[in-house]
Amino acid sequence: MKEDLSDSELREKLAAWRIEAGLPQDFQQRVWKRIAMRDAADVDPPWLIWLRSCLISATQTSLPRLVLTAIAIGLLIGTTTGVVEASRWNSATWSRLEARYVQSIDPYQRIPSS
Amino acid sequence: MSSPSIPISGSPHPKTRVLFVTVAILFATIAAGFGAFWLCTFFGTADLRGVSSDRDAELVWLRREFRLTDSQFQRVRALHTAYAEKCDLMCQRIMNANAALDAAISRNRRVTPEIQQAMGEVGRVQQECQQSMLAHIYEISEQMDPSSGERYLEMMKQRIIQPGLPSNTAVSQ
Repeated sequence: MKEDLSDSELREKLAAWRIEAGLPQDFQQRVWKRIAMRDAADVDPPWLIWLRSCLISATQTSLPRLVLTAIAIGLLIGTTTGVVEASRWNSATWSRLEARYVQSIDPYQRIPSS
Repeated sequence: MSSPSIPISGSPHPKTRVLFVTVAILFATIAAGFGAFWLCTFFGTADLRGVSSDRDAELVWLRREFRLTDSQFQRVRALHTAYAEKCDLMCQRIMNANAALDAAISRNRRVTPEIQQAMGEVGRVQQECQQSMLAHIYEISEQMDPSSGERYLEMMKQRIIQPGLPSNTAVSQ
């Protein structure tokens, strides 16, 4: 059924239109719940969540302390490996010098190999 | 009605920020580690690098290993220099004797007087070289303190007089 309404009549009808139905009681709660479910479905991998929790909390509270700790760990590892490597090199060089002395007094070790 | 708590990140790009901070901290840590490693190896080996480049590095080794005084070191150096010339001559005699024996073995197909003579010469040269070397070792040990001299003799005995022993039998400290 088609009614031909003029603009003025249509405006009147629309102005007089009232929605009788009310919103459900838990409408707002349901909206929040759906938002929360959507956010939960869009989660990051666990390692990123853990890293973020560590770093964001650390950077928000004390970024300098975090950087200093990391640098201290780097210095500790570098120093330890450096001392070990220097000790190994010194030991090898000492043995090489000893062999060089022995070679200098032993004619059999000075004969060039053909 | 109170709304439930929703986790909302404070930064507009938390992932980018976390990655940036992580990379920066890792870079700083690695740079600090490499720097410390380089400094430790550089300064930790500086002394021996200087010794290694010395022309008489083996004598510097002897001096440090046996804690020679200046006067002891001067005497040891003089003995070593004098012995070096004799050692060169002995080296030449060894090579000549070995070459003669080599040629004799190649020329013959059985043990001839020529081979016997060449083998005898090799043995004689070897004996003379060992005697000369041992005399030099005794001379050097006499310049040292008694305990150092004993240790020097023990080390040289294992390295020279008893060939075939593994190198780790040396008692270098």
